[in-house]
Amino acid sequence: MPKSPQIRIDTTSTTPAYKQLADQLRVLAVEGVLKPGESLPPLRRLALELGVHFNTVAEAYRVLAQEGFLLITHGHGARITDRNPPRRPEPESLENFRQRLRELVASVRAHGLSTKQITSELNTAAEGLEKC
Amino acid sequence: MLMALTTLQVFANRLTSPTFLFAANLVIAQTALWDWQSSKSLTRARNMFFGMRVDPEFIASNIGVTIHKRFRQRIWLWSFAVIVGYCFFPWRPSYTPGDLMTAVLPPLLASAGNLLMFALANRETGKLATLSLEPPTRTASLFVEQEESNAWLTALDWFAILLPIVLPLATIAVIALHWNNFPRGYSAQHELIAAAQAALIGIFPAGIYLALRFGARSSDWAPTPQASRRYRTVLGLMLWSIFSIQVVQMCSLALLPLLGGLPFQYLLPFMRYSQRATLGLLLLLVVAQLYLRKKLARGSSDPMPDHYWKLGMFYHNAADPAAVVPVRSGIGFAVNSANRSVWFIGAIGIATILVCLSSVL
Repeated sequence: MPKSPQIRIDTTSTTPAYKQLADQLRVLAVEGVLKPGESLPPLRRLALELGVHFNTVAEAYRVLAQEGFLLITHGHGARITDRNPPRRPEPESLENFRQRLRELVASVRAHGLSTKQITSELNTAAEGLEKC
Repeated sequence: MLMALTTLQVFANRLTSPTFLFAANLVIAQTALWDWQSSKSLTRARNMFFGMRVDPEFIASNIGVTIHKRFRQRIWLWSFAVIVGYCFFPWRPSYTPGDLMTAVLPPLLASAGNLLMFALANRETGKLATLSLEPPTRTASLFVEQEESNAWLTALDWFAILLPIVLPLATIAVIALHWNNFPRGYSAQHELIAAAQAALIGIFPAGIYLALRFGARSSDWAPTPQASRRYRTVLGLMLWSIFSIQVVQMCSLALLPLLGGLPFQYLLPFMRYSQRATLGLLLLLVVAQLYLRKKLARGSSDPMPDHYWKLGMFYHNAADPAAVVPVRSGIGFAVNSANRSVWFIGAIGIATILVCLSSVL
């Protein structure tokens, strides 16, 4: 059995736990680690493993369902869907992405990562995207 | 002179009575266990000191050593006082030295006292120690159930959960079906009550096992889900076996009259040896838990902040779905008192104790 993906919740972060969880699950879905049709763990089980209230996991699942990444059905839990990205991105999306990327790079620079390390990670992420 | 001699004779009789020796040995054994569990080699492995997450250097510091030494002195002094007090306890005329109640009281008092001493050490640590924060991140495998799945363990799980409940219920059904077939001298009603008591006792080990299997966070117990599952299974089985032996014994005794009935004198050795087996199992449980923890669960600890641990011993966290977590100081597990399923199991546990006491009194 290959090792399953790890989910990390930073308890010191100002980002709410449900958002951290939703962000990580979204990454896994976009990168193809979570394949369409695959079921996510029951929310009570995931809440137990992460040590958070089950409403936190429920909110993360709801966010992803609204974005089209998950299909939640009563009695069958949450499944990854074959989400079709929008044909044309919204005009603000690229600007938002650019801004978030700049903020992220500034944040990791402040934590001591070098330009070389950041560039290497961005290249790895880009290569992973191309494979999807 | 004669009165002094008589008094000495009375005390000599008490000191050599099986009840006194049993009670005194239990008090000494549990205090020795508290002493051993508080040892630095155990606490240093998890950076836990009397239930608090501390800077590793604190445990070996002068203050840490003093707190630990003071704790050890207190628990031994208290145990000595309990034993001496028990010796001078005015034996009621209606109770003989062989009475179970008087044998149970000293270990209970010693246990309560040791808990109090631990709480005092916890308060001192909180005031004087350099506390370290809980880990800033919590990590979990997304598909932990698949990682820890094992067909054999799953079969074992269902066996452990169902046996303590199904066996007494089956016994009750058999008694009901053969209500009029009980031989003379045996009462079907009495056996039915015994089987019902067994059913009540059986809920407790089944509930604890269920909590360890489905209500515990995998990452708290061992570095990998597989090791965590194995450790929790064996831990659950150990505790389960203590109570399940009693359940099987009670059901067997309830059904024995239907098998032609056995003179009670032949049953006494059976009961005596089963009690010794239970005590032996308890000791084995302590040793095996330590070995297993070292082998499978090195460094296991809950990731929650200290303030959810009251007096270092009692875990109360309404936001945590876990029903059981590893105990912070020592071996075993602690229940999350904010979890409602734990209330139910706890109520059953108290009812079990009351039922057992009522049958003795």
